[in-house]
Amino acid sequence: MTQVKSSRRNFLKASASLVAVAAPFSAYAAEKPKYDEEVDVIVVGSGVSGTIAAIAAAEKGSKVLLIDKMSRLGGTSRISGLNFACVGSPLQKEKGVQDTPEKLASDMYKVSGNMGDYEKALEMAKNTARAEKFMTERGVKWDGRLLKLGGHSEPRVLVSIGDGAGLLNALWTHMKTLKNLETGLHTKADEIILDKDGKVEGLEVRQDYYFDTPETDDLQNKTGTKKLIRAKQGVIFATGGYSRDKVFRSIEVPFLAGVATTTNPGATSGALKTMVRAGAQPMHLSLFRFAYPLPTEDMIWGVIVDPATGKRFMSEGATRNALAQTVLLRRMQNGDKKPFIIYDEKSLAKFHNLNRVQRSLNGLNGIDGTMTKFNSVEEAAKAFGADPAIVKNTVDAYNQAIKEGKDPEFNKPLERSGRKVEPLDFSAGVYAMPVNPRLNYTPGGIRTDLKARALSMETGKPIEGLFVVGEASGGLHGQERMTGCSMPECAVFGLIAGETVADRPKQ
Amino acid sequence: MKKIFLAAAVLMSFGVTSVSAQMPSMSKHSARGVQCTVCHQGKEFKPVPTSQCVTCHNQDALASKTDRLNFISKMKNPKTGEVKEHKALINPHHSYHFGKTEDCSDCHREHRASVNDCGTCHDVKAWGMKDPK
Repeated sequence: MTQVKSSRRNFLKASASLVAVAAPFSAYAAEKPKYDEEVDVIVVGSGVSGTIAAIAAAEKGSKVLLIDKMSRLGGTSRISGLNFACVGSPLQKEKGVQDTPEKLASDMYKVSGNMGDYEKALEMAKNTARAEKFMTERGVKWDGRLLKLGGHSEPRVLVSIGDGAGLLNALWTHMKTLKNLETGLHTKADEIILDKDGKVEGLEVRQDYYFDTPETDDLQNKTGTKKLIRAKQGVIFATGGYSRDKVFRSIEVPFLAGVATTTNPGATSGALKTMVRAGAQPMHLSLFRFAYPLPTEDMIWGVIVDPATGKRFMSEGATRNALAQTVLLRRMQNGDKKPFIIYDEKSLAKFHNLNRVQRSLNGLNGIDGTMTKFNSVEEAAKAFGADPAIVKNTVDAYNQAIKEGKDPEFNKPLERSGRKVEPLDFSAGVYAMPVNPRLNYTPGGIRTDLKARALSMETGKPIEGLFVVGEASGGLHGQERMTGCSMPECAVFGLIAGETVADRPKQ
Repeated sequence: MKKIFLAAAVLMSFGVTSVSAQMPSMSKHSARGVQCTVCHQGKEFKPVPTSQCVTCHNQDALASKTDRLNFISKMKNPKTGEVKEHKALINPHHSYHFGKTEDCSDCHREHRASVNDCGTCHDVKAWGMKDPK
């Protein structure tokens, strides 16, 4: 006996409580579904974790179908830098760096607010060199840099040539040589089909699916033709996060309502809900991670102004997450007006990385990431919808205080990394841009074990045949994800899931 | 209010049976004399894949037409005075992220207003890019 939870509406009707979600298998027995197609493995999502999982499974002999609901492959990975924290890379060996998996796992745990998963981080770290070799042997090229990024105790971060797009293009070129791996774009996974014992049997998908907008897609998009696909060895969800899902994210964290994001437009919560309906446990959904067009440590050189009042409201020296929360809470109170930051030319010279400033000055740094040069503070204030006279007073008062070597209003530290915060000198122009943190990573997702198997919310045991990898899984990073650590998670657990699923018996 | 409701109900009751009520209110190609079935081939009215669009619209020609959007980004280093240049590949038909792999319908919508897909992540206003047709 098999049952298909083919209709979301039926499911919702029947499962207003968690109990019903956790035990859906025997609830509605239906006749054995008629499958339209049969493969060994279905991988849902074609970012770096899904791509690696599909390749790994196919190379072990499985017949693999890699699907993506979007019109193009690659998800958020394709528009990311994919900085790769890797322990034991050839580059580390060449430069004589003494690094260990334990060091990386400890670094990750330290910033996690005691909410990260050390054991899983260690498993990840131990497999990074293997993942590097896997990618390199399949055409991925690294640009030769070995970076020691924030929070990392050793130089260990690799950068691929051509960013995420370059890395993925190399893997896809290799993928085309695998005859037992097929890809299907415009294909959305709607339901996971379980047998009477709760094992994964296949997927209900829609082909010819045309994604619309993140705001309405999961609930309103009716495009596509329904197909049932049998997956004899299992299904891997590599479906990314839900940064684009305004409703879902702001239920968990209200101040995330108006936040910007530059992730894949398809990063909604639909896939997460599909996995929950199959009984998987979601975790850490209230956590968030922000990214900024310019490094947060360089905000300290400027003045942040609330356009509603024309005044400062926070220390420009705040940490990444504190800065985002203060700015977003202010927007909830001021009629959603975006605060802006004012710099002089001398403060731009203090930035670590001028490339990012150059991108901002040329409109190449994403939504709300454009910096504009003005002739006067008043002109800048006007452009951001603030009262020019009040902003001029704010900046003058700030400059006077800094000249006296203090910040009585917000007590910001007046030195960072050996460089001093100085009064702003606008003789070479006024530089201003919005301060709008981007929600570019959602640490929450499905709970998994060290083999990337989804764990049941009811029993805590693996849901047989269901794997979750990359940003779609939750629990590894905790409150702060260290930079450069999403890529190794995607690569390693994609690899492990692909190998593990291919070892399963064909049912 | 009542009147509007009544009108909607009348429209809906027609919509069930009448083909004309299912016709999209906007059809940019048919406004230029292209019949529905030129694009919608087959028995059903399904979304039109890019492979169909390119039978009339030459992709390479389109890409070279918008090559002019690419520009040189510049910045003078405030410390050294050195000017750094970088080629910004923002041609939507041949872009840095996606090359020529984007679907036409990612931006161009036939039966409603088109959208600028670059604008889902970028400040396209700063590029002086016009809205897609």
